[in-house]
Amino acid sequence: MAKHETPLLDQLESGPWPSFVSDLKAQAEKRAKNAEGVEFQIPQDCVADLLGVLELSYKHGRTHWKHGGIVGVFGYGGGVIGRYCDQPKLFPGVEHFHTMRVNQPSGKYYTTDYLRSLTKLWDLRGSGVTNMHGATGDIILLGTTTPQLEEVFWTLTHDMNQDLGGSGSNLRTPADCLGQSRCEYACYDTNALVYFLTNQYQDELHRPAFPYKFKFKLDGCPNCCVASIARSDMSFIGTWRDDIRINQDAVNKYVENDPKYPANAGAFRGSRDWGKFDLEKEVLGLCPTKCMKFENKKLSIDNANCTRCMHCINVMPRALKIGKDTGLSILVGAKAPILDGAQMGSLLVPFVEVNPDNDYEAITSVIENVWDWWMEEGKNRERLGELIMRQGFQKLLEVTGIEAKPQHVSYPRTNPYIFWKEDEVTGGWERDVDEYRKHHLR
Amino acid sequence: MAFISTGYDPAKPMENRITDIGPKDYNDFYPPVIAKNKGKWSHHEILEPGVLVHVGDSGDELYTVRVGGARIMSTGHINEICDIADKHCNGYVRFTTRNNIEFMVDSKDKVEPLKNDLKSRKFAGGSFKFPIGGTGAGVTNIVHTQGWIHCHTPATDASGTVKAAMDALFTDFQDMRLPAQLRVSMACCLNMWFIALISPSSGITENRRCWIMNTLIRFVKFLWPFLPAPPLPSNRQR
Repeated sequence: MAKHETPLLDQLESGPWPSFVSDLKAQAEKRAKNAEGVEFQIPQDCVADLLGVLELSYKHGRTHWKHGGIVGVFGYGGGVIGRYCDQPKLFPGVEHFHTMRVNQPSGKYYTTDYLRSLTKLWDLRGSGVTNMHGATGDIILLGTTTPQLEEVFWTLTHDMNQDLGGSGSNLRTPADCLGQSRCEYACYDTNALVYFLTNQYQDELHRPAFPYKFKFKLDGCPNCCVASIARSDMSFIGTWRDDIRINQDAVNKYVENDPKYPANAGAFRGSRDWGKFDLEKEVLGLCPTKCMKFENKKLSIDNANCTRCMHCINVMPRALKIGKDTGLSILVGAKAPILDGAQMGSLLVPFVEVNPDNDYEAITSVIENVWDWWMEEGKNRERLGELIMRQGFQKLLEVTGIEAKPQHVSYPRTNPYIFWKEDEVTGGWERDVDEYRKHHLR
Repeated sequence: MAFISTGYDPAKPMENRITDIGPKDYNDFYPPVIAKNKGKWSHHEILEPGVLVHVGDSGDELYTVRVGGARIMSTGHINEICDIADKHCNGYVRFTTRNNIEFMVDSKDKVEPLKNDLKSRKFAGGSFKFPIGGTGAGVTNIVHTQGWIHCHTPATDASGTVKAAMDALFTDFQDMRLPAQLRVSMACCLNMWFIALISPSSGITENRRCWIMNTLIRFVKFLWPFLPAPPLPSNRQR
């Protein structure tokens, strides 16, 4: 018998998609029975009360959680989010129900041993409810009490060699796609770079010193599977600067509709029949710069006009490969709707090498120049993208020491943010009007 | 319930304290075939909705079965994922950015038993625990925020809305009949990016894009009663 009646939530148990309500009910029952004899360190009925408070929110159409003031672990300003229920008498099990963010591994690969040690810890010291994963990539542990925070942190660091993630006005936990670990498109090792950056900037991640949140996301190629261009203040997208590699035999296999060479790597093998693959229509016709030709069974690409949109490579992955001279592009300023509306990232560095041997120096220098400027000039709760809007992209180029390039202009003649400065003009701003009038009469 | 101490002493918080050690090293978590073929993959193929094969230059094959998951997950559910990974995948598993779970096996004959096992598992309420799909030209999982389950400023719920929406979109999670991949996201307030990022493979034709937009608009209309008011357009200079 459930502790609270939940007729509204019960409706979310029907339908084919995995029901979190069913999962939470099973968890509530598991805690009530406690077959494993766990010495629960927070109320045993917290999951039953969580369902109760959620049902009440469904009834009222609003939340019953309050922000939690300052809770955390000693010396860190992030990683823990305080949360209290505003109906503690009705739902005492979730009166204190703080979130802990645990820094996920690169690519979100796990061993079951690791996951089991985490679930064991969270059953003992928390609600046993998680998010796998949050939007920044962290493993989110939902719901524990203040005295358990240090204890959880102790077990994580001492027994599991594992640290907390970011929250608040600091560097949020960097996240990546799986990169070269399982993808032939990846232009650099995203897993290694995200691991390096996370460790390099531990101080920025744990101790809030920024005007507001700051997110890194890393995509191995322009397909942008983690949508870094939309979701991060600084987005690292793999690219190349030499030529797309072409295997002409394989191109012809696609043209001949060889079953071993399915177009789009089989991404359209659904209930709809799109007919036979047509190179002319599906590749050449869709190339955004029309830089491809197929003549006499030979595909040629005018690489100088290629924008690396990935389309042809996605359609014929066995025939076309990314170039060999690879690196990444850095884009900055993407953010959510608050204030000036949602923004996508703007290209700051068209190409930079990814070199682990010198600790990714070319990348970290850009990061640190951007941070210096934003920490100095950013207003409280102003994202990088908003500062760029306020002070201008030219200012960003100036503080990062990056020369304006054609790639910085998104629409020619509509965003002329490149202005001359006085010391760049012969004679400065001063003019002798009399001298001028000698040659130009009124 | 007696308090169990780990050894932490609140009077001496710095004693034996370990900080700033970062995440676990990803190398410890790679399945052997991933570790061996990293950076040396030749190509991949989606064999059917939810099932992929990656082929290495070495000829090694890695089969992946992708299943949907609710973002909220109990430890009981995670332990069940571990049981499956132990039984079929030598104890390795991974999650995707969009809250899907990927079970990887190193030979084709291990795929069917894994799929059958995943399909057979259901929650008490009747929904699938591990629906296979979310690849190619279909709808993948909806990423979302906390909503009423844990947030102090939500304009609406998220988990419930997403569950209802994914029930409606379920066919397209398990099919690949759309003109391109379609990604939908749900935010319970404007703090997060608002609703949807459409991400077809680039270079798609205009009429296809319109088709996707129409699908999305229909979907937004369907969701409209659950959504907060959209932000007012503003391009004011500050």
